[in-house]
Amino acid sequence: MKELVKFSLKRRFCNSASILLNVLLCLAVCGVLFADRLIQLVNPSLLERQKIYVNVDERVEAALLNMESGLDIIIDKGSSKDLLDKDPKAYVLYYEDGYKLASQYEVPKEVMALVGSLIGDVHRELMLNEVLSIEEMEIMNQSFQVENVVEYESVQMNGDKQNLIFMVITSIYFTMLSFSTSVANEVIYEKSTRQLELILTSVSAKTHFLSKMVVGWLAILIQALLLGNYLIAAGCMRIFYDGGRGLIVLIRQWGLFMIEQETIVEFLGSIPFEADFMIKLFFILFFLMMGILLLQMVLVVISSFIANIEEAGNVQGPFYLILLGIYYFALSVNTPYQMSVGIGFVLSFFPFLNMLFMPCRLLIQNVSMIELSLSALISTIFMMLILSKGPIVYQRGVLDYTSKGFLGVMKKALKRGDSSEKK
Amino acid sequence: MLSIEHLTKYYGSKVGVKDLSFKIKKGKILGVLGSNGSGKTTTFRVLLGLIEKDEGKITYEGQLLDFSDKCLFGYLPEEKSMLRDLKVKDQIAYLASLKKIKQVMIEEQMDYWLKYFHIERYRNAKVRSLSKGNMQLVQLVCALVHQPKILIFDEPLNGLDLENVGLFKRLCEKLKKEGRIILISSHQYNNIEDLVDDVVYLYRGDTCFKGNLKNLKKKYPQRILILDEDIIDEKDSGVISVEKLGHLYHVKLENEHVASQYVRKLMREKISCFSLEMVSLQMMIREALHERTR
Repeated sequence: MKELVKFSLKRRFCNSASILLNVLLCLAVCGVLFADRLIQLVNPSLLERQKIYVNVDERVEAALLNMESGLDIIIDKGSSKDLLDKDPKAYVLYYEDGYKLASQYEVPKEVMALVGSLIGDVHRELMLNEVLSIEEMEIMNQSFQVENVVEYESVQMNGDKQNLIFMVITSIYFTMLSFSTSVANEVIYEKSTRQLELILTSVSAKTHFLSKMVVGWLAILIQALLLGNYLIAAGCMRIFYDGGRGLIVLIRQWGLFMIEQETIVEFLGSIPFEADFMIKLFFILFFLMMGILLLQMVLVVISSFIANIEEAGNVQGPFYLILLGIYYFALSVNTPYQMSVGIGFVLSFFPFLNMLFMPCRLLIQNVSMIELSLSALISTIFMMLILSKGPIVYQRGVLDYTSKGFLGVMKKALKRGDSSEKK
Repeated sequence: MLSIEHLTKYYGSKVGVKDLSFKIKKGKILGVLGSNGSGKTTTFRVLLGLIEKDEGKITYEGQLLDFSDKCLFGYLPEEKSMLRDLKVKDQIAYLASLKKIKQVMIEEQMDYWLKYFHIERYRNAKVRSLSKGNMQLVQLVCALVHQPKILIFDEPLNGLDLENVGLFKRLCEKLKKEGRIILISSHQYNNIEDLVDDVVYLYRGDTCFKGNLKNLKKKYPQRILILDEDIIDEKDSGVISVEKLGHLYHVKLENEHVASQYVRKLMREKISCFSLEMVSLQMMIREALHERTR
């Protein structure tokens, strides 16, 4: 018993993959506990207090400055447009038939409520402590509800449609991940059963590598087609049954989406399949597919170094963690500001990461064709690079009979690849 | 003719195989022999294009081997290389289809070889349900189904019972007659001794000895007298050594002349249960290794 447990634990934890997983976990925990220091190092602006330029009555300004609000209040008499151009992340508070809070992107509800309550407090203080004229008293008595004026021209889609598409993206993302891993597992299975050695006497490692990519892609497409067919079939049955009225009532009851139409046919008829919407959809799918293909390539290459199923789990574990991390990170920075000029904007040009960040951007703003093309080009170049180097590393991995580790073999493979290219 | 000249392969700083050369004609069998880790499988993998050689030249019929003809080699690997969840017929068909063989041809050849090895009843069985020996036979079918000109059998006798060993030997004779080139690696020297025409013996990557087995044996004039009684002493004239292996005594004699004297002596003493043999492959190997380590 003791020996069995000892052997199993040793096998599970004393291998390079398990060590890598633990190193990653350790880094992640440290990252969370030292998040503030890391942000300070990487992007200190994230820790800055929200700036609000104030251009209102001088007494209100003075009172606001004296209040502890957690906001960075700056008195500035410039126009809101100039101020926002200078500092797109800031808000501008001004008075024009009521209080207005100008911003480039929609201000979160909590901030709106905070500013509203601050102004309310200021008004109360002024009414109690200052001698005010009748007009001034009238103004002070008026509702101090703050209105958000969004300077930024964007967000064409309504919230429901965004939610729906984001749900679809999430499902596709995780479905594709599982398909990619299954392709990688196939390689491991063929390798562990030594079938690969026989296969490679008939086809080149490059052909085998590419075939796995094609299999992964086709599997996703076939599954999507099947799902599409199921949807159509079930949809037809539902339309025939009651036109989908019951379902729409249920959706409304549960508050999932606001559907004004009564039947599925009416709902489908109301979807505006405009060119703009279709282009967005095309690019969303393009970036998702591109990212998954890249992920699949990397996973298959790494899998070529794995000799058995136990090791596979250990290697794929960290991958899942990383991908989950990316997904939640994308969710957390999915704000108009971050996606327009912040970290989301930058990451939408990174190969692989753009599979989530670019669709997020497309859902909340208009992305220029130049940006889309640039991101797609970077991804394509990166993919070509993996396509040219991947098979060399893969061949080394699947037919490696040395006792070298992953990095050693990879280094040698890339070196060999370079020299053979020179030849 | 398949020719290998000065083949060298290193795994990092370790020698896989060093300066190996041999030639093998059509219709001949070459035994690629050696202890574990001597470079036999490395040689096969280089031949199959699975790994790149560091130095050397491989030619087939005078042309440099470029591995473009995927049907040239039939390979039986040392380890079981099967997808166990497949049916026997699907496993064979899958590997053959990778060689771009037409489906009709695959079916025809599969039927033929399954019958030849008497395993046609397992055609629809899952690979995992087969015994070790039958799995080996299915692997043999996989190696033969595309009618290769060169066959590489790495430890073909693993898991085969006596009957199937005989079947394998008959197969080799058949393939020889058809003009195929066969390379065999095995540790069962007594079983392959009567099969191979030529041998190359590797030791830690180096070639220990090589050549035609008959000619090599001529270099060893000694004869082995095997009997079940301890009646010959090591000190007797013309006796090199006496070794007890199981319940039999193996008496190594200096030459044929001495051997005939002892045979006459045994006949005189009315001992008829004995056999006289030439030096076996196993003994040649032992001698060669002894020489090398001395």
